[in-house]
Order: sequence, then C-alpha cells, then structure tokens
Amino acid sequence: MLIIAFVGLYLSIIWINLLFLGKDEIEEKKSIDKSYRPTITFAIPAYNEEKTIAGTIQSILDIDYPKGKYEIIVVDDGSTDNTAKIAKQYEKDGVKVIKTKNHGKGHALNIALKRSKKELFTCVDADSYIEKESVKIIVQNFRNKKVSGCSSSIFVKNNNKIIEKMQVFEYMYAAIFRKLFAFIGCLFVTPGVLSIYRTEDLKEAGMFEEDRNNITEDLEIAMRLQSLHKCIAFDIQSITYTTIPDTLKKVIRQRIRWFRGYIYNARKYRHMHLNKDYELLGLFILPLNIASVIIIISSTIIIWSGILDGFKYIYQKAIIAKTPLYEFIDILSLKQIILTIDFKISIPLTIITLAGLYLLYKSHKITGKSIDISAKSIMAFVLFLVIYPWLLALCWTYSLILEAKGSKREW
Amino acid sequence: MKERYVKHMLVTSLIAAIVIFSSGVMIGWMFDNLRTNEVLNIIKNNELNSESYSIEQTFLENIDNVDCTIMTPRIETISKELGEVGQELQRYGSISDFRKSDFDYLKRKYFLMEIKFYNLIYKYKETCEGEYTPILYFYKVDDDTSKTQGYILDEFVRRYNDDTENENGETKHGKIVVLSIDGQYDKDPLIKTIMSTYEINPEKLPALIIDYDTIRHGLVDREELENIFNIA
Repeated sequence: MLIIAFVGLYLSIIWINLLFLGKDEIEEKKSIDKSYRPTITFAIPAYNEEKTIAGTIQSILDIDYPKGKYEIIVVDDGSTDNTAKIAKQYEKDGVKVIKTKNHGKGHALNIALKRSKKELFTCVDADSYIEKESVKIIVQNFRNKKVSGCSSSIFVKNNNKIIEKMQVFEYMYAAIFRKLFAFIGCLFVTPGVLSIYRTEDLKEAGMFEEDRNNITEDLEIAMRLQSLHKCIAFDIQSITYTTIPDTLKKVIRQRIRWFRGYIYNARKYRHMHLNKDYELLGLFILPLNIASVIIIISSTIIIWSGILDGFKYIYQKAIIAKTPLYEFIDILSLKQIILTIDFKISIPLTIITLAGLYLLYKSHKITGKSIDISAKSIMAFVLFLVIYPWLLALCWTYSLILEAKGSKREW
Repeated sequence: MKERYVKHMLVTSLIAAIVIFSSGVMIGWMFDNLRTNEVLNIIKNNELNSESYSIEQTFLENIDNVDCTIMTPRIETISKELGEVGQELQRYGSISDFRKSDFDYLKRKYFLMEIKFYNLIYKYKETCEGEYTPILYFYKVDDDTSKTQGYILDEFVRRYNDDTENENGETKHGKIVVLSIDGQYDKDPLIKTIMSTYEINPEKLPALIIDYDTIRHGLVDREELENIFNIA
C-alpha cells in the first residue's frame, strides 16, 4: 500500500507539473491558417453499422472545410446488414463506397489508403460524428512537418444512462492525459474515432496491420509510427463524438478488446520498452503503462481484501455475536479521530484525489465541455471513482488470463 | 530542449513526491508520540486508581469496616479505564510505525494491570460476593475464532451488565468484567504461568477462565455463556 501511495503521489505531481509546464501549449487555442487547407481522404471502415453510418457520413459532409479538398471513402467490410445500401445513398454527394469480403478493419482501411492520393488520410469509425469545426482545427497540427499523426478529443454521443455517464469521465481523463502524453512526445495511440495521418508517412510505415490477431489497429499504427520516431500530436480542442457501449456487458467486452490489443502491441513493440533510443517514451511512459496495470490490479486486491474483512467483521459481529447494528459504530472524539489518521497514506491519497479532480476540471475547461452537475452525473462520478477501477482491474486480469491461455482475439 | 526540461521536471517531481511523502511520515512519527502519550496517560491514571483502591481496601480491612458500597464504584472505575486502555491500544497500536517497541511495552503493562485487577477482584469478592465476576479471556492475534469470541463476549457482557436490575429496581445480579490477554504473548512469564496453572494450551486458543474456576477452550457461544451464568 505504501508503494502504491508513493507511486500514485509521484505520478500525480508529474501530471500537475506537466500541466503547468506546458500550460501555454496545452491550453493555447491554435491560430487557424486559412491558407493551409491540405487535401484529405476520410476513410470509414464499416461492418454492420446500418444504425450509425448515415450520421457519420453526414457529419463529414457538414464539416467546415472546402468541399473540393476532401473525399469520403466508405469501405464496407462484408456487412450482412444494410450498411452498404445506406452508404450508397450518399454517392450523389461524392461518397465512394467499396464493398469487400470481411477481412477486418486494417484491411478495409488499407483499401482506402491505397486509393488515396490526398495529403492527409483520416480514419473515422462508422459510429463517430465529427464536429463541424474539428477538421479545420486538427489539420493545423500538420503545419509542423514533423507531425505524422494527430487525433482529436472524443466526446460521448449517447450520454443518458449511468453506465454511459461513467464512461464520459473516462473519456474526459483520456483527453487530458493524451494531451499531456503528446506534449512530451509520448502519445502511443491514435483512436479510430477520428485520427488523421500524413498519407505519405502511413504508406512509408507499411500501412495498417491486416493481421486479424491485432484487434486494436489504432494502437498498433501509433506504436509503429513511434517506433519509427515519427511524431504523434493530439488536438484537445478538435472534437469528435462517438457512440459508446450502453450496457455493462458491452463495456466489459470493449475494455477486454482494448486491453488484449494493448498486451498484443506491448509484446510486439517490446523492444521499445526501457530502450533509451525512445527516450521518455521508452524509458518512462511505456514502462509506466505496464506499472499502472500492476498498480490497478494490486490496489484492487488490497481494497477488496479490506472489504472482505469488513464483511467478515459484520458477519462475526451481527450474525454470530448477534450485536445490534447501532452498537457497530464506535463514537470517537475529535482527538481520537485525528490520532487514528494514518498520515503516510492519507496525505498522498488526498493529493492524488485533488490532482485527479483538478485534471478533470482542466479537461473540461480546455475542451470547452461544460461540467454536468446533475444528480445523475454526480452519482455516475461517484460510481466512476468507486466501481470503475475495480471493473478495469477485472478486465485487465481477465485479459491477461486470456492472453496467457492464447485464446482467440475477437472484436 | 523539451526533452531536457521534461527530464528536469521528472526529477523535481520525484523530489517533491519524496518531500511530501516524508512529511507524511514525519507527521505520522509525531502522532505516534501523541498516541503513546495518550495511552500512557490513561495507564498512569489507572495505576493510581488501582493503587488508591488497594490502599483503601487494606485500610478498611484493618479497621474492620469493609463496605461494598464504597468499593464497588471504585472497581467499576478501574474496570472502565482498563477497557479504555485496551481499546486505545488496539486502535493506535495497529497504525504505529515508529513506536512499536513503546506500544509493545504498553501492551505488556496493560496485561499486567489486567492481572493485577484480576487479583484485586479476587480479594474484593471475598467480602462483596456476587458483585463482580471476572472472565479472563486468552486470545490469539489475527485469529478469526478469537475475533468472533471477542465480539460474542462484548455483546454478552453489554447485555448482561445493562440488565443488572429488575423492574422494582432490585439488583438481579452483579456485573461481568472481561480481561483480555494475548495468549501467545511470550515476553512476560506471568502470562505463561497463569496459562499453565489453568492448563490452557496456547495452541488451542481462544480460552476463557470464568470466575476463577470455569475453564473453556475454543469458541464459547452466547447460549453456553447464558448457561454458565444461569440466565433463563
């Protein structure tokens, strides 16, 4: 527990320190150079997305960007529903629809990439909705010739149920952390929701991985670009909406896919870990990510064993000793309460909590998203703090077991 | 350039983390002193009360004027204070990092005070029969059965002691006082002596010695305690 408290404290200070250190760059609203309008291919790989594909295409057609400067390619990856039929309705707007057999997302993206003659190549998931201003903001990052890829902040589209509201907080934290990682040149994921790449660099890097064992092609391509010492940026002010899982089962399934994908890619790019050629990424961020998994699992075990002790205490006292509930609570004086505090744990935990709240606040502030203070959202936040780490620990543990067993990876 | 100042930031963050963490440890150390002092103060007070009670008892015996109405409240005070010492020791001893040896000393002192009190009650009972019944409870640290026994005793004694008078305000029975001792505490030979006198096996804890002569090994549930104390 002491080690976890210390590591947590150190990391909290790092993030807050970084936030202050990079304040100007992180919070700066980029000036938009109206003369800089690179040509873009928007690739939408789709598999059975009949419910959302129209919205995704329409959101791209509605972006504030010169019409002649971009093309939309929908690659229907062997859908068995009406995805292709719906997409074809947009052919009159210039949308190209390509039908293939089901070979996976990487293959679908590569079909579009091979056809692309544009300067930038954008992956858009078929359940994502790009905000009108997002593209003209995000392309500004490519004025820097070193930038090979850039992704946007992800906001949640379906935000009504408690389980969805809980994920909103996760996405808000992801936004600020990705910005901090990108600030130090260590971002190693370009989410499929909306990521944009320099086409030439993608082709040079060998395009997207088509191996269906890789279930997180967005993580793989970012790791590959990093392994080639390419720069990945993150534009926190460019916003894309995504449809998130609306049931606990779907959330768990998605997290397991992400985590298994991470394990696959961490193994594939293990040479980057603790490798001084990759500087901060290799020596700090990648090992830190692995340490975070260990911390989240071990702290959950510690907390759960404490909770089980609590249940055992209640069982022994209430059931066996038949003690009435009102006798359970020890009424302590203020002096006793203060003397009972374990400062070596409580001071780091207080700082970690405050740092966490501050990061969440900053994420809202920088992205311009208003803080939802409805009762449902507050309840979701409490559940996010209390239950989510356990859920993640459970998913991590299960993912590690599946990987150790060599189980087939599935979407 | 950025690489350099980020590395510098990592080092300064580490220093800040060490400083903050150390300050938590330092405050913990200061509070450890306060905790031991807190327990020590109650112990000192209890010692004085026990001594005062002993002298009073001898004095009253000498003048042949032993009065249970004077002795009983004093026994009650000492018993209450001892309970407080036990609770504070348990509460603070588990989170102490720097004063483990002091807490160990206080623990030993506490056990000795309990045994001293056990002897005082023995003498007290010679003249004030039925007022107080001691239970010497030997437990094993971090043992589930011992913990359960502790909760059973707590609840049984709380109910028993709250119910000493009948509807007419007449005394139904005396009170029980539980004295808990770590049965595997090996730093004081006195505990071993008592246990071997009563033939209590340190491996078969928990164990109870009720009213100086009834010995029970293993978990004693509420029903059994009710039978021992003749509660209908």
